[in-house]
Amino acid sequence: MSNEQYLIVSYFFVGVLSIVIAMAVYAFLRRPLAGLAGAFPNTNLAAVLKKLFPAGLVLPAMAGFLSVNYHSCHTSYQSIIADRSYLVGKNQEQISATCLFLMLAILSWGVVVLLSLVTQPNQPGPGGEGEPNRL
Amino acid sequence: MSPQNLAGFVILLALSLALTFAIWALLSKSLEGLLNQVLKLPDGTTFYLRSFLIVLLLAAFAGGFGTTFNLKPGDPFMEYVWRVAAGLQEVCEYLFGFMLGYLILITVLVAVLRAKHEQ
Repeated sequence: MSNEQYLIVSYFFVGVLSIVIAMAVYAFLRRPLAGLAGAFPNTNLAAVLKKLFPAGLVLPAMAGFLSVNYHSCHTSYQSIIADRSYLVGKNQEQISATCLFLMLAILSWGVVVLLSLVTQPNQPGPGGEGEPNRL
Repeated sequence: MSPQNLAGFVILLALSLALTFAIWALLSKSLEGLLNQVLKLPDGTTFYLRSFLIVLLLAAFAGGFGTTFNLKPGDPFMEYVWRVAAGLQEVCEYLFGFMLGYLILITVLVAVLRAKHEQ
């Protein structure tokens, strides 16, 4: 495989991988968030949170992937595709940036859930204190 | 990627994951108890616990993949060790930064919700 072919294949592969990582995180957190949202008396807020959640994970993952610039060290396309290790390094950088942006997104969702919990009026939730959680 | 570079990368990733699971093993039980006590919602506890685990894993991967192994086959052994050490330093920075952010979040959660439950 030539370096140019590797660049094209790896670029789109890592792009799809970043979306897959975000969807895996969404699948892991979807049920507890839906359960939390179901406990909110304000059903509109619950619906908005549930619908925004996938976009709030996929968009940061894509932003992380797209934030990596291939032109940072090399000025021309020919110099970019000349070095295979540079291309591999850029792929690693894309995965790393995707993970970092997802970390920030999850922390931000934690704050959003906190604010939603705080702004709800006092009422007994669906589960008691002793009810086991589902990790 | 040469076999030596690949081995260095795999070792870095394994060490990062070991660090992540050590932190998880140390903190998960106490964190679960605290969240159960404060949130009084099983789904809330699950959400924050899962978020904690995912972000720990993402920090390990971000640090691991952020380190490029492009050493030449003839390079001395210590060059590989230093590269792994540089990667681990990045992982530790990410883990520390995340845990600081999470600690602030949980502190606010405990303070605000305890005050709310006492009302």
